[in-house]
Amino acid sequence: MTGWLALQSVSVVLGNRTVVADVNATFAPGQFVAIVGPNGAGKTSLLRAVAGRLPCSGSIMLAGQPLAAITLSERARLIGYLPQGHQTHWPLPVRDIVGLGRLAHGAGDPRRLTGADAAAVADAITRTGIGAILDQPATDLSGGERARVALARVLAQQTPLVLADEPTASLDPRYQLQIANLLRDLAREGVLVLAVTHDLSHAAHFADRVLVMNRSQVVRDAAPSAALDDATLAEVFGVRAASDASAARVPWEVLP
Amino acid sequence: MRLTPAEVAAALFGQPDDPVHAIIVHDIRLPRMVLAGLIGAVLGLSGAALQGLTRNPLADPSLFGAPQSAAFAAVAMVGFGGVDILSAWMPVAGIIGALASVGLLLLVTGRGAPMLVVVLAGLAIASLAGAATALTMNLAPNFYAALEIAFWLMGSLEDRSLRHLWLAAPFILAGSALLLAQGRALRALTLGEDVAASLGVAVSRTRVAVIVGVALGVGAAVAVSGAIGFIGLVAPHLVRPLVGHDPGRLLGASAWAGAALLLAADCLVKLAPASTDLKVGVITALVGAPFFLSLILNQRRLFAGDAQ
Repeated sequence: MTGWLALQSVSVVLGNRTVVADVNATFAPGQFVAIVGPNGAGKTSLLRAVAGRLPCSGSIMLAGQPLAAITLSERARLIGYLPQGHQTHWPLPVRDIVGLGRLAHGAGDPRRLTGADAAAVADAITRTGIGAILDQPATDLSGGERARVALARVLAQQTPLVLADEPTASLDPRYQLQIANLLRDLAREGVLVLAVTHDLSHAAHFADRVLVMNRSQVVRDAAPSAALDDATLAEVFGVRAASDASAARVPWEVLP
Repeated sequence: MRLTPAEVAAALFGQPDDPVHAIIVHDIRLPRMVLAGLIGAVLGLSGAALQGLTRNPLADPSLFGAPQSAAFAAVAMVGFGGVDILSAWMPVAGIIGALASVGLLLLVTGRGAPMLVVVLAGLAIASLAGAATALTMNLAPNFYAALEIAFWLMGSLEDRSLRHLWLAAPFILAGSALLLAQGRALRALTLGEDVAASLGVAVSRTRVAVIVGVALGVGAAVAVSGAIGFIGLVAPHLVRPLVGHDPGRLLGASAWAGAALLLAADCLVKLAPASTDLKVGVITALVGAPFFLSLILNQRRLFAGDAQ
């Protein structure tokens, strides 16, 4: 089912600045796609456009319908969106924050979830390993805990498309790997995952496909080894892979 | 006039010994009590809804200028229209004033403006209404009209009749219903506007609903009672230790707390010697502000967390 998510000539203009220019790409369910690029390349804007949060020109088709024609409540069941920053404005307990993901499925009070809603929340909590902090106020967490709670909320939403903006930023190496593994597993289960990341080695190791953005354009769109070749690394990021290190290897793995 | 509980019960449910008791209870005390409950409830509810909408624990019902506009429109009837201070024209004008302020606010900001822009526009409208109120007093036809206006602005439930209740109640109830329906959306806004939208919440529609709901409810309340401060700000803080910080669950709880607070304050007013014409709005601010200070002392950690 290629083209489940299809972007055609997608451009985003903010004020008088073009932050995303003429992006064309199609995505199939079950792919883990990393979006990489220098700061200001347009990664977050592209993700927000796909989430329906930024007006754009061109066309975005999702599950056979134009994104603009999909109602907000239908979108909430299709697209899980994890923005940067993981804002939480009130000190709700972590359990309630995760439960908020079920609002997308019509649940009301996160403290009174039943059936499928409760099961989805329990599963998200187990997967992200936040069982020990469920009663803590979400405003009192460490950066790493906040990131996992935010991800748990998206998992609880159980959407076929997950858009994650730097999901591993501010995490220690162990949790970075866990989250990356988790997103890859999600993709194996049939979810389309688009993740913005600055970690090129993670992108190379975990993703099925890498979109490289530079100056608001997608300059490479290929399997990791092809997208992150020496020429692209030099041209886009101004770096090169250290002598014998293959970009496609992560030097750590999570201890059991 | 003093009535024993038994005499009140008889006047309410049975045959009172003295027909005057029935008139006192039915036409004076009951409307006043129901008004106090309704007004307190819609103030608490509005405070909770605005704090949820702006995600700011300092928001109160006057944030977007609806109560100030209602107050101005009402006193303009006295200052320029020559109507009596207890006339039914006061609430009618007040409600129109509150709705006009919402119209102006939405006209200026349009849909989807950043919250900061809406707050700033509301501040401008509130200041304008305040200045217009001062002008009304300034230009009042005589000294007594200005004094009447000044006293009315302090907020009171004295001498309000069934007619006031029938005028204000439909608007208060409609505004409250609109606000209570926003619980889910306000809950989602805990995670910011982007995430709330991704959870299926129409963020700008929620904003309009809260602004209109507050204007209907608080506009009608102010139009009947004058300005009653602090209840909208304090009620949500009062119930947070009991029901938690969930903005959805806070709505109903804050309404009950607001009703209880205003009823209690109005009782205090009635306990005062009859010669002192104490205004309930003065009491709520006088008792409310120190209480709020003590709450802040107890919850300093929470506020520090917000500032991060």
